[in-house]
Amino acid sequence: MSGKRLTNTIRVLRFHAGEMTQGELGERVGLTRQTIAAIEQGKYSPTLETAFRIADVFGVTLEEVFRWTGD
Amino acid sequence: MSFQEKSRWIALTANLIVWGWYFVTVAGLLAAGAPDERGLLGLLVPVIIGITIINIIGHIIVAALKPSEARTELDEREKAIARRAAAAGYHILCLGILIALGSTLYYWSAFVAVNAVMLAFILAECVRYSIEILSFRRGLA
Repeated sequence: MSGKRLTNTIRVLRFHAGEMTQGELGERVGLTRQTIAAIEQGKYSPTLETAFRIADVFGVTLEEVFRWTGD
Repeated sequence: MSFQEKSRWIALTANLIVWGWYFVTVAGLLAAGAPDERGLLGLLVPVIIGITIINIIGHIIVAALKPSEARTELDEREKAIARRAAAAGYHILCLGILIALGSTLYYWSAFVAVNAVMLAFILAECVRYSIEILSFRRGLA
């Protein structure tokens, strides 16, 4: 296993999207507020389909939301 | 705390209180001598009623406090947590039933055998709820 991990910019994207709340984003992609919070904190990696849905909400590409970072 | 996590807390608490009372009572009956198998049904009735009442009242209170989050359908993270917890609970259940069956080779009693299997089932359920709660807190990544 590499030391890489999945990080994301959801918090920043929410801020730039009129300070969208976690609950609002969750409603739009079919997740609970707690699951959005878990994704933001790196405690849960969403499915590929959900990752695309999240990117779609902000009108950006998948790579602009999720990054595979580390060594 | 999500509605699903609160729901698991309610279920775990109900199981620990009601089944705890049941198994303490059964242990008392065993210690007092040959228990009456027919009395088992009499003990199970208050258990079923107690579990049902605690669960219904608990869920009504939790839903009334935050109606917007009172959802019964699970999202993908909650489903993943449920799968992980069910797998762990299944292993506990298998182990418990094997121990219960194995113990009947040395000491046969319908009363003990039935209660040992029930204990395995309740332990498996408590482990399942506990792992779900832990996973809600610590995450899955």
